Parts: sequence; C-alpha cells; structure tokens
Amino acid sequence: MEKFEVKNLTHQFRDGDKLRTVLNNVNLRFETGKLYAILGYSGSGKTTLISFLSGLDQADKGSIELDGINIDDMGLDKFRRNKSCIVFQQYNLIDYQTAHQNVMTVFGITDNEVPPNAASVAYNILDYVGIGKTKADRKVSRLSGGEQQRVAIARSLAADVDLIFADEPTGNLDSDSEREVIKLFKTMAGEYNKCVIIVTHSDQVAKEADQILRIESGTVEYE
Amino acid sequence: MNIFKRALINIVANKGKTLLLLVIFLTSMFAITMTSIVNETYDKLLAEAFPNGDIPVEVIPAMPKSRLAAMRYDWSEEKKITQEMYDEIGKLPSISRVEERMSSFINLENYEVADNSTEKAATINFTNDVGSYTEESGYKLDYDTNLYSTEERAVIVSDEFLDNNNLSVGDKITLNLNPSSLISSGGLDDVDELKAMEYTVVGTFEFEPTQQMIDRENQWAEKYDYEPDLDFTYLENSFIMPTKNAEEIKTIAANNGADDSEGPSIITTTNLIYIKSLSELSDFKSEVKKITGFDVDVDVSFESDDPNTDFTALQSIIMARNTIQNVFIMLISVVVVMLIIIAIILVRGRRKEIGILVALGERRRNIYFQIVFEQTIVMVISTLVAFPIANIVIRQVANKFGAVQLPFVIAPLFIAIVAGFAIVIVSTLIPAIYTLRVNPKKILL
Repeated sequence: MEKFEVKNLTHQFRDGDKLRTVLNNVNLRFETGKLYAILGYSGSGKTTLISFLSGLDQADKGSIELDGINIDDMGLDKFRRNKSCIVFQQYNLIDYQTAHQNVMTVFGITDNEVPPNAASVAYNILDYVGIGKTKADRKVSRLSGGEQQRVAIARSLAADVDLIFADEPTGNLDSDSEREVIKLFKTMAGEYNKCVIIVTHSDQVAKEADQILRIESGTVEYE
Repeated sequence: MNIFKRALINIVANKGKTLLLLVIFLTSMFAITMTSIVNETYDKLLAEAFPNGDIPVEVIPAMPKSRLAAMRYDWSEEKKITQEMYDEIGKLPSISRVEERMSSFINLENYEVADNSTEKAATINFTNDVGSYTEESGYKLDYDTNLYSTEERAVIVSDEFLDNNNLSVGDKITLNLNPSSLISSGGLDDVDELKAMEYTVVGTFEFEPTQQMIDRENQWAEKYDYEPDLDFTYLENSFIMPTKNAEEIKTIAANNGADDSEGPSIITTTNLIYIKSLSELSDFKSEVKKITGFDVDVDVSFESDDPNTDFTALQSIIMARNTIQNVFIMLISVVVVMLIIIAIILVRGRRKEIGILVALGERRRNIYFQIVFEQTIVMVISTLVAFPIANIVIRQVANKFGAVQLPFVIAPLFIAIVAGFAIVIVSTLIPAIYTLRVNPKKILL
C-alpha cells in the first residue's frame, strides 16, 4: 500500500426532525508504518468515521481510496477481505471457536496467499501476541477480556493486510492489558509496517500514536 | 479454515443446537424413509407381480351403488353405460388393452350335488381375486387350495351350502348349467338344455352380511320394488370359481346356442384394464376422471396369472402405503415448518457470528453454504440412523398385520437424502435472506 486517502467525505443522518452532519467534507491521508489515533468526544462521529474507513459502511458523499482506487469500486467485501482488518472494542470473536480457530478463520476467508503451514503460523502469531498454545486451544469465551483482544489482534495480523483499524480497542481493558495492547499496535505499525488507525478516547493510546487526529463538529483536524 | 471445517466446528461445539436439529431431522427422515420404503416395496412387488409391465387396473365407477341389484333386476342399461365408459377408457394413450372380466353373476337354473338333485337357483362369482372379492362382500374365506394355481375345475362354496348338501371340501359337485339363462328384469328364461359340469370343492366361505349390505338391500328393495332378501340366500348359494373355469362355461354356453341378442351367458360388470406401465398410473387416473365425469376408484388390481405372486404382501403393503403416506405426509409438513422456525431462531442467534464473518470480508454466499452444510451433515447422519430403524419398524408392523416378508430396498435411503436436502434448502431460505441483508456495522460497532 502506498497511500490511503479520504476525499471530501460527507455524511449526514436524521436526528428526529433535524438532519445532522456528522462528517463534513473530511480529507485525510494515511501512510503505512504509522499508528494513527482519532480522538473525539462521545457522539463526535469517531465510530461513524471508522466504519467508513474500514469498509463496513458507505458515506453519503466523497470517496475513500486505496492507492488511487475507490474502495466502493473495489467492493467493500473485497476491501475487508484482502486489504484491511478491524479490531473491535467488544473483541467480536466467534465465541464457540478456540482462539486458534478464530485466527484460522481468516485464512479461509482471504484471497491473499495463505502460508502452507497455516496452522502453525496461527499458533506463532498467537504466541507473539502473548497467547500460548494451551490458551490458543481454549474456547475464546473462556479467555479474559485482555486475552480476547490479543486474539482479535492476532486475527488481524494473520490477515496480513496493510490497513488495520481498531474501534476503542482498549475500552474494556484494565490498564495493564491496555498497555500491552497499545504496545502490540505500536509494534504492528513500526515493525510490521502496517497502517494502524485507532479510534479512541484513551490518552494512553494518543500518547503512543505517531499522528493524532481530532474529530469535532464534523471536521477532522491533524494535531 | 474453509467453510466445511467451520461447519464441522459449529456442529461439534454447539451440541445442544445440533441435538435439537438431529431430533427434528431424525423424525422427518424416519417419516420420509418409512413412506419411501412402503412405496418402493409396493413398486417392487408390483413389478414382480407384473413383470411385463402390463399392469391391470381396476376402475370402479362410483355411480350406481345399486349396481348388483340393478344387474339382478335391470342391468341392461347400466351395462350399456358401463360399456360405453370402458370403450372410451380403451382409447386412452396410457392404455395397453381392455379385457372383459367375468366377475359377475351367472344364474344357474339348478344345480346337482352328487346324486341329490335340487331345484335351487345359484349364483357363481367368477374371479381370480378371491381375497379382495370376499373382503368387500362380507365373505370370510376358509379354504386351503389356492384358486390361482389349481389346474382342476375348482369351486368354493358356502358353509351352509356344504351343510345343506352334506358335502365336505374335496368332494365333487355337478353343476347343471343353462347357458342361455340370465338374471334379468324379464325373469329367468325357459330352460333349454342343461350342461352338466363337474367341479371339485376346494374351499368354503362363511357369509355374514354387513350392516351396510342389509341397508343397501333394503334401499334396493324399495327402489326396485321387491321383497328384501335379508337372508341373502342368493349369496349363500353362490359359488366362487376362477376365471379360467368360467371361460370354459362361456364357451360351452356358446356351443349350446346361447343367444347373443339376449346377452352372453356370463355378464361382465367390470372390465380389466391394462396400462402400459406403473408410471402411467397417475396419468391414467386423471384421464379416467375426465371421461367418466364422476368419481372413480382406480387401483391396481390384484389379478395376475402368475401363481407365485405374493398377493398377501401386495395387499398389506397397499393398505400400509395409504395409511403411512397420509400420516407421514402430515408429519413431514409439521417437521418442515418446525425446521423453518428453528432455522430462523438459530440464525438470529448467530447474528454476531455472521456479522463477524461479514466484517472479515467473508462472501455472504459462503456463510449461507456453511449453514446449509451444517444442516446437511445433521440431515445425512439422521438419515443413516433413521434408515435401519425405519426398516426394522416397518417389518415389525408388517409382521404384526400379517404381511409376509417384505423385500429390502435401498432406494429409500437415497430418496430420503434427496428429500432431506430439499428440506434443508427450504428451511434455510429465510436464513439466506437474513445473511444477505445483515449489516455488520449495526451488529458489531
């Protein structure tokens, strides 16, 4: 990936009788190897923005382009399948599967090249994020919140995509787990040359970010 | 990890859900397998009974309930109508041939038993279908010799007839036939020349008129203005003999100058119709209804020239087929509705999982295929369990109701799997729509 750009993004939604502009002609540019933190108050439109960036939804106007190709034209499903991955606040793992099976699921979905020894690669990734073999073979519902979030991060690493989005990834974690998770995101950006975009209101995350963006009244400003 | 692995993990991990589906599928697969076994057995027995694919079918017009009485007192008009119907039926494309069937009454001017001449009128029922004839007519057969296979001139008589004439099974009786005499509204013809023919009593029957017969006799008596014969003496004095022997009588009648203008010596009331193959049966039924304009019962006849045909099994299986089909078609319908409802509930319970997969970029059709595959696995397991159980159960039931050995048929296994797959597709249609419309943002963010 060379560039990930947001061009003239505008979105409104109906709030009772009023039409509220949540994003107003937003223009952004992201690069690989950096950790971005998007900050903003509750209701400022952070989650709406990340849903557009991650291809979970479409804005009313404007475009999001990956290396010059509009992700709408690419197909949002394809964009999510092959170019990006998202980590959620609620982890969103398949709860009846083990941690290892959750990571393996990505290999069955992506069109990108899957390593021939996918199973052991999945264990290695989990080990890398701090989930050893014993816990990797446990159902995720039996893991702690911090561990589940690590599994979610491992899943995004397994996808081997350049764009990793995260929506309040530390929102449900204690401070120790928060630090660990932030460290992982930082490593993903720095060592693995990923473009990590995190929506958060955590000062800890903001402190570690290479670039902070603040969203307010429909506009997004670089700090 | 592909969709098949995901499906297997789901089946193993969600034991409660799998068990629920297993029980429901097991019920439906059992019902489908039972119905299918009965049908396949029916087809197989028919194919064995009629190896040339020339299938006799019986068409019983639902018109005059008073057919027998009418024939006794005014049969000519009905015979004409019936014959016209058969002529039309004979032109149908599904028909192979139409044969006259001598299943009716011929009046004997008198009969002679051993050396004891009497002056009673008697009736002969010509049939190759002793079993079904007697069931319908209130006879209870007690005989040892199979009329189908007998090479001699055989006849079955009533217990009363035997007692009245001091006879026993194995004795010979002489029937003095008056070839030109018929039962008609005009009464009996004058006796011309009697032809003596000797028959062996091969069995007996008891006759107990049913209430329906008594009611009918009273109705007919009123309609045709005669004294009701509530002792049914004409039936007590009736004989049952195979068609082959009756043919002989017919020939003798002709040789003795039976007058065609007065009708044949043997009255045919129903014709035996042969259709080209079993697959034509349903077409034939609908064609016949169009021709007759009134309800008709059409069923495969038990008649066959093959003495080895297992008619008891055939009869049992036909009876079982009708009952089982009705019960199980209802059961299958209920189960399909249950499966649809459960599939909807289950897929709604999996909205988060579906949302996650969509968010990861999984193709929605793959998610649907996963759901279909999960149900298919459960369905196939259920079928493999249901098939042997259904086979055991149907044999137990068949034995209980006196049917003989049923053949083993494998086709129901495949029929059940195909039908089960159709149920899977139907029950996952709404989940499919749900999967197509799921919005991961609403579920996950």
